Amino acid sequence: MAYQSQDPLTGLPIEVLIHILSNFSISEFLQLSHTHPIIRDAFRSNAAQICNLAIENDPEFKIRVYSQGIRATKVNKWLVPKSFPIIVNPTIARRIFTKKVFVRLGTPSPVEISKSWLVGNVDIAWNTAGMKIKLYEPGPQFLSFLEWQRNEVADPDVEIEDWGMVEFPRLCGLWTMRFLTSREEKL
Amino acid sequence: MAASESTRITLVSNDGAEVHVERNVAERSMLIKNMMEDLGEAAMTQSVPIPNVNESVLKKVIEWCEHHKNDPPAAADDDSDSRKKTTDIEEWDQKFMQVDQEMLFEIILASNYLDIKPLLDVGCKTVANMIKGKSPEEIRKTFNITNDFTPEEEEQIRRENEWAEDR
Repeated sequence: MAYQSQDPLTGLPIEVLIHILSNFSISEFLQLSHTHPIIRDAFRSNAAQICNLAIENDPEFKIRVYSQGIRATKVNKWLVPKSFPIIVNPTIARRIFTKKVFVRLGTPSPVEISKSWLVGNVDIAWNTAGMKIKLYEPGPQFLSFLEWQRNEVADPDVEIEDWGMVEFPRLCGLWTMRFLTSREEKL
Repeated sequence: MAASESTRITLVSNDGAEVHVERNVAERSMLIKNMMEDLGEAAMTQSVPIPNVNESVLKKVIEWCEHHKNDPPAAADDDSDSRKKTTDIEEWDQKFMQVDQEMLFEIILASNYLDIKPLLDVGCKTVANMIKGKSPEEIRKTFNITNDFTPEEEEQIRRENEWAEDR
């Protein structure tokens, strides 16, 4: 459906709109995407370009991202990790897992882990082998994940038990991201 | 180089106004720079039409180009820290962008048309800063955006974006 723009912002050429959108963090963009269908469609149609620019445009963010092993390699137009694995900061992992529905490796069927369950078992979870991430299909959640990492201080002395696959819900019919543990990588 | 700096050219806005400007200032615009190279000597004697920009906006853009005429050109693939974070806009540029909203968007459109990337970047950052920290309703109010979403669509978007909430 083609929408009519009657204001200066949504009337901008798409390349200029993308330029503006790439200055936002993902949460800021999501606020903006609530304002008008043209803006929402602009993101849905150009998510890879916007997310890549968001990384590239912020020098500090870019350095952080690349220090995590993410290079300017593009898969389906997305910046993705070139070298695996990426070790996740346990604090970040905990924050992600405690608010997401995920599946634990080795269980016969997907098991939804509630926040209270995970928080209650957190000390057991983070004590052994490090967790590795493998990115298959990046998306806005990927940018969100990178932003989480930017805002946290890594603790190299704490490692994470090999948790299973984590799959984020699909956003706007776009891409999903999943994490793999070292155990699953070997399979 | 010295000859180019002292050479003045004439730009003609879409409302027929002539704007006289030093060539090296005008050539902050890649569009004009390419036109000058294509025209060669003829560019010195002919006016250069700028059909998509009116006089007031063209003069404003030239004002920015004057101030930044000695800035080093940005590298095509700039890995340095020259691209600053959203909130980082030079003080002079911040004041320059303190214009009404119509002029702000006209400057953005003109810089896009004239291919002046640093000015486009400043304009986009200015708009981005106007958006940051605002709720969807506040953003609509700021830019006079009509809410075209139905309540059902709004609920659907809210559900789609739920994963990013409560971070």
